Amino acid sequence: MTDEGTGRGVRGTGVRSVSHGPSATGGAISTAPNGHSSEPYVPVFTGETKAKLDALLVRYPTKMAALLPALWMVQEARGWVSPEAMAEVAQVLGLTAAYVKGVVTFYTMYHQHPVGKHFIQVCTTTPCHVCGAEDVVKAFLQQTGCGELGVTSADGKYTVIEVECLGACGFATPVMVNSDFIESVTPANVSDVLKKYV
Amino acid sequence: MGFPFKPHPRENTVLSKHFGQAEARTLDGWKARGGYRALEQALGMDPLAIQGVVKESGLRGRGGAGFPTGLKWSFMKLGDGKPHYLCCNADESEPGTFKDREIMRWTPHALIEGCAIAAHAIGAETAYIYIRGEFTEPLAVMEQACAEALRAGIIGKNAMGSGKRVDVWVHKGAGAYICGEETALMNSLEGKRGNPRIKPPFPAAAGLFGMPTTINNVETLAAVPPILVNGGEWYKKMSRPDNPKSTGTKLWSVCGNVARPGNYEVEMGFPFKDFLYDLCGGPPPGRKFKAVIPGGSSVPIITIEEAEAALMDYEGMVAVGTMLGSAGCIVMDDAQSIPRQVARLARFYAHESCAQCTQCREGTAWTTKILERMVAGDGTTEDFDTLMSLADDMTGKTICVLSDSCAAPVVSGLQKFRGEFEALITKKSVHTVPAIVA
Repeated sequence: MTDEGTGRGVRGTGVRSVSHGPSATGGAISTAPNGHSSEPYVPVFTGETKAKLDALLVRYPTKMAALLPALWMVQEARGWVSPEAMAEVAQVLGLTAAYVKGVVTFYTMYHQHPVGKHFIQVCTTTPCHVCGAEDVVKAFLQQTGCGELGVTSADGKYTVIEVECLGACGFATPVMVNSDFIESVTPANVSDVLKKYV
Repeated sequence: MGFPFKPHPRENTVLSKHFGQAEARTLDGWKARGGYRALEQALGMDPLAIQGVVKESGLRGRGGAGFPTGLKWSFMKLGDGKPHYLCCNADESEPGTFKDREIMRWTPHALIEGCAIAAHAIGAETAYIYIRGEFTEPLAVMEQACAEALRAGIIGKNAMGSGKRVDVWVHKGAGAYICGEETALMNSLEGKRGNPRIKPPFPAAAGLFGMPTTINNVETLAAVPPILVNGGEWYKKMSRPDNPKSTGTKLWSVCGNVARPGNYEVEMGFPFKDFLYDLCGGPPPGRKFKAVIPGGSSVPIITIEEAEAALMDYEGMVAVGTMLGSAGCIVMDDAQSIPRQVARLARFYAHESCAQCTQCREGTAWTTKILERMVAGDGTTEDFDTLMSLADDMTGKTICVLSDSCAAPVVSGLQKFRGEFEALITKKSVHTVPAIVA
């Protein structure tokens, strides 16, 4: 359980991915304990990605409005949003790194730490809760070997978290694996779902 | 309709008619179904005339507040020399609600058409559709439909050859329930933290980028093209005869302990009892309904007896002590512990509080802690007063209504199911599930 760096919400409510996941367990993703990569930083916004961002900028009257899209591009390219990436985004959009961090920490979908190859979000809000979502979470934690919410499995493959209402309440329990949205997951078909993500 | 997409004979499918038809997602398929006729008509009309038709229809906001749409549009001062903006609120995150998702997945062009008509009606050249980041499929479908409409010249700098500019852009959120609040959405779209703003100024005076802005829900905008084609009078007729204040059809998302969950579209004023038992198929086998949260998690919880007596429109829901809200109907059967579910709801609000206002940041957190302690069997009789006092501090005293929304189910849950809470304290008992009745 961590509230570090979420910048909102309350201690003890909601579990996001935590920094000691893969590095502490010797997983596939190599990072220093503070979450900074030891490799030299390679900029994201060059070539095609830069052109894609420039094309987006014409949609808005301010550069700042492209911040959320720019952060998405970073996450797509790198899997998470590192402090160095925040600094790069700040520079590209004419903002400060502190400002960008303030925005990143507000939103739950930007990873501030590396996560498993497959990031699994199980909806457990009331409509799914009444349909037994807790058991779906347990099944995922068991079958991925994660054991605990927010912790990446030893092989670096999976991170499982609970997520607040995914907006598909009639198809309980909806689960997101990376960007795939899967409906009607039950404890019984968790193993089938996982087969696709190895 | 339940799943797969087969409407119940008592539904009136204005918005959901083409759900489940893959061809309806394409521009050609949409045109073949009469699509973009309304936009063509609108672009040749005076903005005030469009506002007039929508006012006449009686259409009210489908996002939760139920504000008259035509009236909202009329707050935009036309010809003031400032850029105007239209925001489409597609940040559907209210627990129990999943209707906008289906509109975007199956009829993306209906939304684009609604956006373009509304933009013209409020003097805007740009419309942004803000879709929550978790909606990966609706995002992809909407992006593709927008690109297709732009390529075909339906939107863009010369929309349908009218000489008018209407840009429609999709903007992806990044995970925050609060961004469904209109001013938080605007902050988020501007690249800021999604903190709600103090009103006034209202969006029509100073909204997105500080300019006059109208913000409408997906379902509201999708209802505009059929209204324009068929006329305001046609829409107004879909209501109960003794209540002209709620008009048209409404998509109800039904979830929880119910035989056939899904989206159902019925005319305003439909009897809730028939809806729950006939359309949705009643409770799961051997169970009985116990409680309903009819309008998304932010509205007061009602007992099944109250629900069975209700009529499904804005006034009908108020009459039984709750609200229509976003019409995300969460049904609970007799196997559910109300304290446990109320505690889970409180946890949701505690997680989603933007933490700007003290009453909300602290109130949602302490409400959650107290409720979870009660559920764990460590409650005291003083907890009732503490929870009610917290709820009072959280109602009507904050920038937005998130903390009010947390208080609503807590207060109504304590009032209507007090016995269940008391049992947790006096008997230190955990909830027991009654046996299934054969």
